[in-house]
Amino acid sequence: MSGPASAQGPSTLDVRPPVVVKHVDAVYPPSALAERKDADVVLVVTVDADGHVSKVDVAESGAADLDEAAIVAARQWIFRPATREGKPVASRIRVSFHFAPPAPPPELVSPPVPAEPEVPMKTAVPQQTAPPPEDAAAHARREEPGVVNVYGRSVPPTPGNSAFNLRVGALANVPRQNATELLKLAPGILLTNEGGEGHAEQVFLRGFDAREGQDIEFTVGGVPINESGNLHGNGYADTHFIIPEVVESLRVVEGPFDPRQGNYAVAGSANYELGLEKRGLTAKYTTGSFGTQRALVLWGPREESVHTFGAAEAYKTDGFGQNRDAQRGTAIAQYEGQAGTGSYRLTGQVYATNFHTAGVIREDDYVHGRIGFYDTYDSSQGGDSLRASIAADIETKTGDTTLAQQVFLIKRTMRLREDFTGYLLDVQTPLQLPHEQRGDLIDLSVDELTVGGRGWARLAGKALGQTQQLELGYFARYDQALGEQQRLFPDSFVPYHIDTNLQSNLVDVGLYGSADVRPTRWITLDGGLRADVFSFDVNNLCAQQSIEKPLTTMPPGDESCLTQWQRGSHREANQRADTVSAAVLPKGSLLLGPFAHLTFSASYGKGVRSIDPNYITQDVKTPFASIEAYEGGAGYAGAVGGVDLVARSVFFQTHVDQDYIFNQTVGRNVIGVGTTRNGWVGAVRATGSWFDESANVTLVKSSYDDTHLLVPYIPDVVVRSDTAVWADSPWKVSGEPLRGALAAGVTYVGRRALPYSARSNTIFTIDANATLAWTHYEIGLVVTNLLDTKYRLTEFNYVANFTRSTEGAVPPTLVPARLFTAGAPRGIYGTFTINFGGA
Amino acid sequence: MRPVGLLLAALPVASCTGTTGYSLVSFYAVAEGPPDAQAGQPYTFMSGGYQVSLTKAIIHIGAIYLDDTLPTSGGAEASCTLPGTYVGEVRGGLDIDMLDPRPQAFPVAGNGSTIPAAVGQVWLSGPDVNAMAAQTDILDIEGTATKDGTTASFFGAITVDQSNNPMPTSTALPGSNPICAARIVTPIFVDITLAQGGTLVLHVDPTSLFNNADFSQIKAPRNSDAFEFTNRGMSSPDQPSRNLYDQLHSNGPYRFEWRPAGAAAAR
Repeated sequence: MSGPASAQGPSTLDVRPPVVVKHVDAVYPPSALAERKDADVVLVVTVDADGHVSKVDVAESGAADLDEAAIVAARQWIFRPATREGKPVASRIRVSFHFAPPAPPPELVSPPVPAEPEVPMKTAVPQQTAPPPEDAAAHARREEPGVVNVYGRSVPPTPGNSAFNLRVGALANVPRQNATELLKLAPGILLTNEGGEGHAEQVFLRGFDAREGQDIEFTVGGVPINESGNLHGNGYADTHFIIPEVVESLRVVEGPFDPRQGNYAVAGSANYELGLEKRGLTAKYTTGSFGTQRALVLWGPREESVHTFGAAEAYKTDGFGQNRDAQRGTAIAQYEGQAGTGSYRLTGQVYATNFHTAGVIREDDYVHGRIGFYDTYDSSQGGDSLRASIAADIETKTGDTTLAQQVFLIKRTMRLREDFTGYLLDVQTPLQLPHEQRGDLIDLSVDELTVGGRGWARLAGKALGQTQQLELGYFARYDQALGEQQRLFPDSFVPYHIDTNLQSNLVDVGLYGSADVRPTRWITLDGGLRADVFSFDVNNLCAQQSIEKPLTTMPPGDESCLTQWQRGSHREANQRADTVSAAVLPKGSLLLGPFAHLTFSASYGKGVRSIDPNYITQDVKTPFASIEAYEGGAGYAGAVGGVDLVARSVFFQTHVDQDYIFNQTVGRNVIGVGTTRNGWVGAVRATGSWFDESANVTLVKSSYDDTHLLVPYIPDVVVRSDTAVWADSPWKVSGEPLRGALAAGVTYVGRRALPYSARSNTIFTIDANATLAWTHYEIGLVVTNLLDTKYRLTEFNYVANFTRSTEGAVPPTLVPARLFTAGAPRGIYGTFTINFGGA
Repeated sequence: MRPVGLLLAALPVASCTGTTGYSLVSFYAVAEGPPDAQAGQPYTFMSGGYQVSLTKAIIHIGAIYLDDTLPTSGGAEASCTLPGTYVGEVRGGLDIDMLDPRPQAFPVAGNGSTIPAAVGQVWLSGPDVNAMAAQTDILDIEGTATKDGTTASFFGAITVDQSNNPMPTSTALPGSNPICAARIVTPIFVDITLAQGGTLVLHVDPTSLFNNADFSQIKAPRNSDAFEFTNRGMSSPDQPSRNLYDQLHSNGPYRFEWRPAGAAAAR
């Protein structure tokens, strides 16, 4: 985790070239002796952010064999990597090798004279080190290193103490089921999932129930993940298509303080950057509890950057308990190439999954032994999901101006079958033929196409003796979304009612200007203005669902989408609504760094979240929720006793004028009243030569503005610790050391407020991983829920009746009761990994 | 000290303070006959000029529900589900001796919340309120009606099922008279806020079953000693039978009372 923004931080023009730590001389190839080649070979060497040579190109050839000899030597060099703004970045340098043949043996003349001692073969000496000794047979040509081109993507300024640039590093060893769990490296994140392995995680952050991502702006390499127009929840974000092993870093900005943050950045934003540090071909197999098997192949060509890779995964599990099986296949590939002084990337991914889910069970049914803790009422629940995307982006730097442009195309489909209430909602209406309760199994499907792009230009310059930055940027996306929700007979999956059927065309265009101004060395003002324009065009294909006075000669019966208006007049079943509106969002931070390593910050920001197309009416003025947030805090970044230490403490307040509240009767979020959150976050990360520890605590109180009652389901207290230690063992096999590593993740969640003044149970889990590595091989043992705690992952208080009336020996239950979804019991998995052709 | 002070200042911000409002409760549920009745003794009262003496009046209640919202008059026909939020339920059936003033406990505890209740429901049904056939007798009565020295005996067993449930009045509204609507007595107006450990009392008044009854028609047929109430609901051929069915389904015989935990039974 990088430290908080420092007002004393280096200027953006602070670029340092790589420095050789270990060099290897080239050997004059025997094949060149016959011709006694004397030549220079100039190489362009790409040095990665970890200091290893990832690519070597011949800029000027001396001859094929000389080129090869130079390449072989250069590949073994190790550098201290180049840095930009203090952060390691990839770079390219020119290295010249001069090859001179050894002096020829003297001719034999009479009288014979003793042979002169053989002159040792000259080795070509790279010009990057100290100049070679003079060689009378060679014309040495010294060349100063050429222009150092430092690559690596530009990192935007940090808005305050709640921005976390998280390098996963050794903490990748902490067991994580998916890429979403990497969010736990940022403070205050709680993840739950009542919908199964193919269902997006429910994310809690800073007192927000961000549901399946609707209050967090998720991106991967800048490509949006939030789905506009998803009927389950506008902004639904399923990150299961991201293979966790190719996540290089994660940038989490908590709060809406960055002008670059757009729609859905209510609680904050999270951007995954992909990369594969371990080069070569890696194959990993995992097997263990619940019939789980996972095969993973990773490919990182040695001569390419860490951002060039391919990855493919196949996964299946029977799941714990009842009805939790899942299968998925994922493939993702990215290529990074050089574009002048910058780089470009092409990224593609495909993901598909099919899964079942157990859903909720009633606490009283479990207590009285009517159902098991890990059982299910309705085995029909589950779904499938597909995502495919391509993206291209380019970033170049010309003088003091950095330019970036990205385009993306995403295709996404999803189907969810969930049953939150059992046999409750299908009441007899006068219009319908007499029927019994047909069940509340919801079948929701979405089909979405997204196309868009973003770009920015950042200008840096000197003023007042400090580096100042100005950035202008834009974001644009178009979404075409089809969403339908039906109710199914539980045994046959035959739909008997349509709840919703929408066709939506949605556009979001954002423009922003941001400045990073430093009046003095220790004061930074960072912020700007953003404007987002939202356009909705929604065709409700099932707009008319009830009639007060139907025609007796034309009774609508059980039709869901009616073509009859009041008193029998005809209408079409659909109704269209469109609206356009704009939101202006100021955001800014003040950072003060009068003391070394210490930064104080205060931030203010307005955010926005577009509303569900279901709520769009003709010309509605504000088709979005408005967010206003404040925070203040302090951060420390420095080294203490050889340990890199980053710590921060932040107080915050966030207000939303139209919050989303989960409604179990419709199976998705519905708009509620305004809410306010007040809280505190504390985080620390300590990284040493043999350990890495990240720990954080979040305390928050979320309440409704009108009643000041607590918002239910929000955890008041979240504590998280991620720990990794590693060491080489004293034993060696075939001269190579054995390296062991241990990692553990600990989560504590306090008793969450539930409706009706109840409190949930606490959650306390430990996940651990132990690995042993030797050369190209690694074996591991992963244990999730180490203590085998029987815990309730989510808890609710609402009305649900899972007893079918035809089965019933009791009348239905119509009052709220406790329900929960079970957390997974202890799981034990073995992993075996082999790497070919890595550095 | 300063960092510690900041942390201490933060603690009151969160951690288990505050409430989401209201609370879930469980409570006892009992039914009682008229306070002036004597258990095991006939219950005598005046109705329509007749002295009515009931020797047996058993009513079966399948369930009790309380809701927070009054139904709107002229609202959608025959919805068995009340608008608003259900705030109390007792989901166990009980055969209630309407002639016994003593508390007769429902077989299960009630559950609900502290949201104030505005209306109650009494379900005159077996376990399945939607079953087409009757699962149990709802009312079983025996007694006499005396006027001017002439006494007529009567008896009857009333059920509620599809056979005595009227058909929908409009072909455009085929679901407008579901069987559940015929079994649910509502609205019974209440002003109750439930609390943990209290007692919900359902008072049943047998005299109300005979409001507006024409006792002059209660005459034993030629081949019988007693008049039998016809179990055909509102299609019954005689006024007393139709009236009995109608009064059974009115809120007249039913009244709810709340007794907080520890309160003595009212007499």
